[in-house]
Amino acid sequence: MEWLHDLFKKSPEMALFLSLAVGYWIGKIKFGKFQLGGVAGSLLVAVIVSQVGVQIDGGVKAVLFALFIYAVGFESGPQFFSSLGKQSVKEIILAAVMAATGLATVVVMAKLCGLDKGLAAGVAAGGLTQSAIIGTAGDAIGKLGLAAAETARLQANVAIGYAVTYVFGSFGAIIVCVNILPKFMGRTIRDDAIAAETAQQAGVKVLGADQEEAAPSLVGRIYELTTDPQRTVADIENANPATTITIERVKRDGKFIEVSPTLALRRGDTVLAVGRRDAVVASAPLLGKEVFAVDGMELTLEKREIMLTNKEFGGKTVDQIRQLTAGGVRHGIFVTGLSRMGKALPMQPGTVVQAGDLVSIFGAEQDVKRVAALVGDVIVPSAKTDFVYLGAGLVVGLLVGLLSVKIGNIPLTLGAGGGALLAGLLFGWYRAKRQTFGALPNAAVQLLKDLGLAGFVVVVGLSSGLQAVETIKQLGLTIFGVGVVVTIVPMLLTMLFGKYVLRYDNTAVFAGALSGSRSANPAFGEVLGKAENSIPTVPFAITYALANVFLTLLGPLIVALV
Amino acid sequence: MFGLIAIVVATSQIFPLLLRVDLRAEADRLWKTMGGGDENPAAASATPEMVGRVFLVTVGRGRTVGELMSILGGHASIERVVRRGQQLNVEPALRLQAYDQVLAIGRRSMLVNVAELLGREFADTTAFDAVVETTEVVVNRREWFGRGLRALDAQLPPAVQIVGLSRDGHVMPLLHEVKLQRGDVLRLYGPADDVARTLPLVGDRVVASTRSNISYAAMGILLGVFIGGFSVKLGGIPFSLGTGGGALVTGLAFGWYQSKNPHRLSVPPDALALMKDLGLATFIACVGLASGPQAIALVKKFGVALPLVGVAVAVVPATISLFVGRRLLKLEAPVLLGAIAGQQCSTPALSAVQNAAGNATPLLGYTITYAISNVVLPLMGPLIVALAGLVHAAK
Repeated sequence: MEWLHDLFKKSPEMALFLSLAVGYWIGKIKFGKFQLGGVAGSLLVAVIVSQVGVQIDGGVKAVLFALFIYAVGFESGPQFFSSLGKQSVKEIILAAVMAATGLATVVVMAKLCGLDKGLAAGVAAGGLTQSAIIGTAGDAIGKLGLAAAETARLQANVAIGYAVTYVFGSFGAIIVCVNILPKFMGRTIRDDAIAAETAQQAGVKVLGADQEEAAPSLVGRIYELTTDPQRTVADIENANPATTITIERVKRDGKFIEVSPTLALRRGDTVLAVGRRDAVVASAPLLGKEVFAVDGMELTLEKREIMLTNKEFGGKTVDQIRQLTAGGVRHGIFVTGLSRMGKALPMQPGTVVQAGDLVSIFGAEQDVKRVAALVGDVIVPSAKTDFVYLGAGLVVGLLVGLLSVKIGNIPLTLGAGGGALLAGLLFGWYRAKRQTFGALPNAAVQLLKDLGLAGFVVVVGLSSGLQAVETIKQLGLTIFGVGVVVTIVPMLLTMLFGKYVLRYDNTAVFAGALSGSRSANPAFGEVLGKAENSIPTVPFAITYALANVFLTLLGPLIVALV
Repeated sequence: MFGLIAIVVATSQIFPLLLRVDLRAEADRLWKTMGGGDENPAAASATPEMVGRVFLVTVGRGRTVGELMSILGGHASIERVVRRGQQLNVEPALRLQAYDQVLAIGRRSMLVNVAELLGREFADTTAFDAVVETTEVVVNRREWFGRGLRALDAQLPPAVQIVGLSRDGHVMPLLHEVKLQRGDVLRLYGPADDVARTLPLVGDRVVASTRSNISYAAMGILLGVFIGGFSVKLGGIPFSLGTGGGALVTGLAFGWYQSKNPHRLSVPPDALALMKDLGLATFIACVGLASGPQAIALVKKFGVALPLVGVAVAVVPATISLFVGRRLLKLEAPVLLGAIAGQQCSTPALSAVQNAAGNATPLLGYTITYAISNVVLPLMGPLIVALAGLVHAAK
């Protein structure tokens, strides 16, 4: 033990990484259907490691938490702002009701059972499985102006309350969403998921990452001309005015010759034709016999997303733009998709295109470059994080977090956590709108979230481990009991409200929305498993983005009210 | 601090100019000659090997699906049959009628001839919502080790095709006589259900996740810091790898193990890039924040001599090494710059060089010089003190 103590004294980062390594490993172990999860696992291990005695700098905690909460905001931002509208009023109300009933339950139970501010906030963080509350509540406690020792004790209590209640927090949400809700609604999740899917069958099909249509709409084929067509390249390309094809390569007598619109094709030429399936199939008789694997006919096509900035196209319909760009402009380029704020738009002739929309185009490299220059800015998929944007967002967030407003006698402040969350939301939303800068790749967001939160929790655990053992000995059962109530009661109340006031009638949709409004990822996973299709995903995504904000902001409120 | 900044700037910005090379292009070329993958997710072949086509049955009426499948010989398969708007179950005994619509998927070489077998191709694929996937799988099942691709191909369902094989990150030709080894990565193409059913026969799916394996990463760092903390006494002088050296060594080992076992959750490249950039930038920023006031105080006391000496001590040996490495040893530019970063024991410089190069090739030069310098440079301490004593005595 002495040896370990010396080791951790020399390099305290080892205690941090030890807790993360073992914690995430424990968190992965499955007990039946249930997992502890990396964050709770890391906290547990940190508390054990801390018994050896570890001193770790508090600054680490602040940095990791700011990164975590900013990443949460950044990820939820686009969804959050686009869901603030009429079409998702039900989801907004549902998430708000969950937050309000959660707050009320925590405050009432804390008063009844005599929990202090720290434990109450911790029970909220664990019972509602919104780990970010640990940080925002900790901030708020720090701002109360108490003695340093008392502040530290209360902040440690937040983590303790969290640790004791978190397990049932995730478990309870699964029980409510998967077992109680279908009984209450009188219909199973699976039945309603099928019903909802049939109702919206017209929707755009969502393919997995490695998946594609078995018969894609764009094709490329190689033909050997068996007769003398007496036609130029342009004639063949425009044989069918509605959908043109592109002759990309011509090989004559074993040599490649430059393709120009006036080039007359001859018998024996080998050509590579690219276009929409119907156009290529229709043109096949003009081109002769299809062949394959001809040397030098390999052509790499690029897929690029372009943000529309050309004012000439903004506000026009797809059909109008097609006419505007007929002829040479569009040569060799195929538009495969259109999206606005991350949502795919149907490519109907009447769809109105706006500046800022993303256009997916497909074609040979030089054609893509030429058209991209005409249309707008190419979105280069970047694996590099834009640190200027990330840093600026964090600075803005932390500054906002310093502001404080007095309502009556209660100082209300967003704190570093709330500020960074807000900045993350705004910066994430702006990034989604203007894709050309501010990259933060998805894998980087996940890393910031996982490492940020788990690291933060570990530092809390390491510095409060001794106290944790004491508190749990004295109050453990009480805290756990309060946690059970905090997990179950708000969910049941929200469920009643959702059915009778908001009139949710589809169990699958409701289960998704309910699990999202509690930011209960494990419960959502179970709901998805029961639904066997992706129907619950959309309502979940909306309420989840909202809940990430609402529930996180409960931290300071609970500290103020208890 | 001045030395640190000087060496970072010198290796990543000034030296490539002195060498008159485009570091990024050089590194790219080197990466490719060493067989590094060149994956661009935005690029696709105009004429992919695997295709799907729809045919309207005319000449093929009266044939059963089973007959057709045996003609296609496992290179293509009948995926869907639609008769008067109704999807039928595709089973070997199903007999095709005139005007059935048939979706066939498989290799291009086979499908260009299917029209002669069935009837003319038509373009309206709206009745078919079939989805195919291309999945990477690690060959892990013992029974395939040492056996040829042909043997495996024969065991796969006809709808599933092998479209690629890579070993240690190198793309291998798809020849029948290629023997499978443990850890080979196969690319399988086929309908999602069929591929999912086939996977367990061969091995485990390669994980493509945006989640990072925190446990694995933290374990590597932990071991690295632990190893770095050890010091060995050689002739009374303690040597140790230090935190940076230890973590680099375990990072190399853990990264290598991961590349052999791609079916385990890893740390995705985007997350690695974030770790490197954020870690390095924060480190340098902290060095700057911590030593800034001190540096200014020292500058006030000694004038600009001290930082200038620092810069010179960092840059002069590096510049000499640059010319020795280029002219005498004829090292590739990215490797050479990595080696200079290692010779200075400067991990920040390595990251800066890698950033400028755009890939990991500089690491090749870095590891060896770093290991040697880390042992030799501390020896300089007593030597310099001794020499400085001699100089003073001579005065």
